[in-house]
Amino acid sequence: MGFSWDYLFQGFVTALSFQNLFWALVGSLIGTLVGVLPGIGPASGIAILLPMTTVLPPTSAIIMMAAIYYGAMYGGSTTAIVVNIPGEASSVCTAMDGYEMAKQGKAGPALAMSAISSFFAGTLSLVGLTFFAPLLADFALVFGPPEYFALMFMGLSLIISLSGRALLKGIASMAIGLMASLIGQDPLTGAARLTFGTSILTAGVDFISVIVGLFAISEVMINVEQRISTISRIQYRQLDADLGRYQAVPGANDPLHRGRFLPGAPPGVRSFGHYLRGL
Amino acid sequence: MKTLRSADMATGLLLAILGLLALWASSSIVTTMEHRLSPRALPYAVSFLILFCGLGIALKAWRFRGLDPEIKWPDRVGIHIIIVSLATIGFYNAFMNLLGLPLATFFYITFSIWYLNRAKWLTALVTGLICGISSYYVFIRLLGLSFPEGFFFKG
Repeated sequence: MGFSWDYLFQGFVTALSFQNLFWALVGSLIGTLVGVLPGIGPASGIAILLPMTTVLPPTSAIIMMAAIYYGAMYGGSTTAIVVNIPGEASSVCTAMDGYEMAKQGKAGPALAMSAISSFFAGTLSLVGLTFFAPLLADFALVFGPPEYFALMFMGLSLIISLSGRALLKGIASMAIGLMASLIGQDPLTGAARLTFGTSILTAGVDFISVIVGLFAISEVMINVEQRISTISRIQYRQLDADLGRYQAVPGANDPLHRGRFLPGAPPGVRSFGHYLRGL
Repeated sequence: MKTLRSADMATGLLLAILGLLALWASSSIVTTMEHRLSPRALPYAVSFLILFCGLGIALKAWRFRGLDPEIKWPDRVGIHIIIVSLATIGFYNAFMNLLGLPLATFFYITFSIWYLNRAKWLTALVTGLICGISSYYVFIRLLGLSFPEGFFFKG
């Protein structure tokens, strides 16, 4: 079936009806609330909230599920900025700079930038998907193991390049991360790797547990040692005043409007790629 | 480990030990059939990488003769607080299945607020109670997540 403007306009008419816009709002609100919780990502958020959509007509249900997905994707950045706990792999980069901004009393601009860039990226990718879906589908079919290997290799190289001059430390941290990901069953042969005979480790180490341990627990320990509450350090009173003044942050516009197309890459690799491009 | 140089040396040696341990663990991976790429291949490669990086970091730090910045480690009280906080998290995790999420959260939050903030026990108790009950309603009842309910809420 070829591209037809009629179908597109028909879709817009359906999507922009009051009822569907209302469910989109509800979905994005609930999705954001769920996304704030570390460990509950967009996919599990949709799975948990699926029963809520069964009472709706099919179109509204799909719109609500999409809104939950987008809300959950954005929600992860809130905890990343405010308390240095990235809820998603894609929020790790947000935590790196966003939390530092929050500590300087710039949590408002950081949250605003995150919201606006999420909007731009989501809208651009949707427009791209609408017009280039058939081309992307053809491209996806030729995307085989060598291409995935190249993509993963690029991702790991990007992480190492974050370490700057401390190259050995960067490679070591990448190797430790790789070692953690090797724990569990080998996907090709089914052999148990580095499980020490325990069944708990057979399923592998959960990614969210690793990033919560690395970011959240260490941050909590630093704070309890200094007997300083993170929450009190962040100047929430400025939040209202600063929201919407994201342009006050120098150089925020370029990365915000930059395209985010990197086909096949997982969100973590994509966000790291663009983060490093901005350094 | 007062300075960055000595801390790097210690870190490098620890990484080297970790690499050796990973090598030993990789050698114990059981392979039942002949495979084109053994399941030991990647663990071996990563173990060697950790080992050589650790040795490299230690050697680089040992040979370093420049300005050596001092590291501000936690003092005795700070270390005590960190150990107690980590132990509390450990207990929270260990007793989760026995007590259930709501009750374990109640004890954890109450103790943490009382210990860390030196708050009044009533404030800690009320906050713990609110967190315990909310955790039950949000995570177990509303979101339907498979957290242990514990004997108190099961009935």
